Amino acid sequence: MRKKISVLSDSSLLIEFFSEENISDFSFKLGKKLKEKFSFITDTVPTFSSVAIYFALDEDILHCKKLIEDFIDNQSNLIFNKGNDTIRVLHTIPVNYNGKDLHRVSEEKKLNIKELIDIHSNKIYSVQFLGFIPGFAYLGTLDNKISLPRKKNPDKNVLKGSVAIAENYTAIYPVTSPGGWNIIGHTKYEILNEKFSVKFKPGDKVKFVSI
Amino acid sequence: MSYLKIKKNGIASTIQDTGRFFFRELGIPVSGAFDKLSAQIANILLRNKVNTPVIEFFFSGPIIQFDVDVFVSVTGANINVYVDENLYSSGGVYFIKSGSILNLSKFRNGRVGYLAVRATFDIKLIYGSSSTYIPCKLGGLSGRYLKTSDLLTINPKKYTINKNVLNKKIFDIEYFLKLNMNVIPFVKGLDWDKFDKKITNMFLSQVMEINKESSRMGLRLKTTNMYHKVERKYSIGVDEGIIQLPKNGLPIILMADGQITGGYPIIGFVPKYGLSILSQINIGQKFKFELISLDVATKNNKKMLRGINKFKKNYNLKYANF
Repeated sequence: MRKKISVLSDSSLLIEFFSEENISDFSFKLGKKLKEKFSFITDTVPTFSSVAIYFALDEDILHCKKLIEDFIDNQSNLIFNKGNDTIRVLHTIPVNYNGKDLHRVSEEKKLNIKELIDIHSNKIYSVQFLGFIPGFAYLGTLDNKISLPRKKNPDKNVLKGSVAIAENYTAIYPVTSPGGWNIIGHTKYEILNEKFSVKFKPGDKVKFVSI
Repeated sequence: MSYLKIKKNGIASTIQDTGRFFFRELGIPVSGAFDKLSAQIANILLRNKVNTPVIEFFFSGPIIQFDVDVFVSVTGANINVYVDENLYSSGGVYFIKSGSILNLSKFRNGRVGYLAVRATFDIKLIYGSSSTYIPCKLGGLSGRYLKTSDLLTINPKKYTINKNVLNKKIFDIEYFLKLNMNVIPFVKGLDWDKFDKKITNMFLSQVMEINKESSRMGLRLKTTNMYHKVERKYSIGVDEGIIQLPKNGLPIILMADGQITGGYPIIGFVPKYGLSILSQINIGQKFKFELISLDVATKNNKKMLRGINKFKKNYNLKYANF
């Protein structure tokens, strides 16, 4: 797999991978490994095909870059191995498929409501990365049959617990916020508790059950 | 126990500190002070730990009554510091007598100010930080803005200061950083080379202003639209100071509450030592970007860190600097 390490800012680097496949599982593992290996790393953010690495301002960025490059080069066989996809944590999420965009999605995708719900709930998704707002997990990969773009005009107020789809992902809004995803249902499952601990960790598995 | 009584809340006043690190992979943004240098200096002036909570406010600060004798410091914007009837300049340490009222409502210029208190606050840490993140009602005082008649519990600590420097301006950002607000340094970003020469030339030469719709998440710039067709296929992790250029050609600079990931192309980034100056640019004030190398950016960051350390050791100088 071809890769490129670039300077993202004065205290972060970006490792990008050029692969046609979704490799976010792998980016997550690599991020974790790098964080364990190098104490200068404070945060890592794995996404679809990249890992961002963050460190304190007093670190020498080009030196960090060199260390990371060498590490990846020496480990490539090990970490490029996809490994077996064992399920560590499975969250079962009860969903009331009553979202305001459900009918529009079914029309656009030429599926009836039942088919749409079956396709969405038949799959076990993995938490590929978190971003956007705390606890907002990108769950993938969504079946192509129900994949569609974000809305052109985002909603100002998407309710907490909304189950939504966009592009290759499905997600649950952990708090009420603006958002542009297509809302197909709602859940009472709490992703952020009152102490703000996040239920989903990268690599966890998620299954939706229609109620 | 003693209290700060908020007589008037000011604008967008929140509790902040140096930020919330280590949890970005859970989607938790760094947050912390909008002008991290000024917030740190406010604490250093009082010999507090640098991550002690401070009160942050934009364009107009709070009016606060104290029920205990305590030292405070005010940094960030240029603010009229009223202790009862007495007027001082910001950037220094002030002594507040029990019953006195501190009024920070009048800004002379600048965008964001900080009040630190020589005391410990009774604020619960969430993910290791007291910073308020409003979009998620997380941290600070129940995750919200301060409001009139709030009481903040404090536990004052002993302090001594040379009489000659009390009530005087000791810290000024522009002087400290040797920067001026009309020129903001930036380094070429990940996608710089993907933009047409025409776009990058516009970026280098155009006059910029900060749009009213800016927030703690990001500064939206007002300038001639630099329309372009550059795209990023996937979202990537982003960072404070990153300058995104969406299709509408109006730059967005990610700030303290910036999202964890972003999909817009990245034309550049403002190095951390420049963020303090950037965060003080007022509505209507004009500036340009100046291209610098990564090397210069890193050197200046280090200079700033050294300056902070020097300041920690000896701030009794009038106008400490690099």
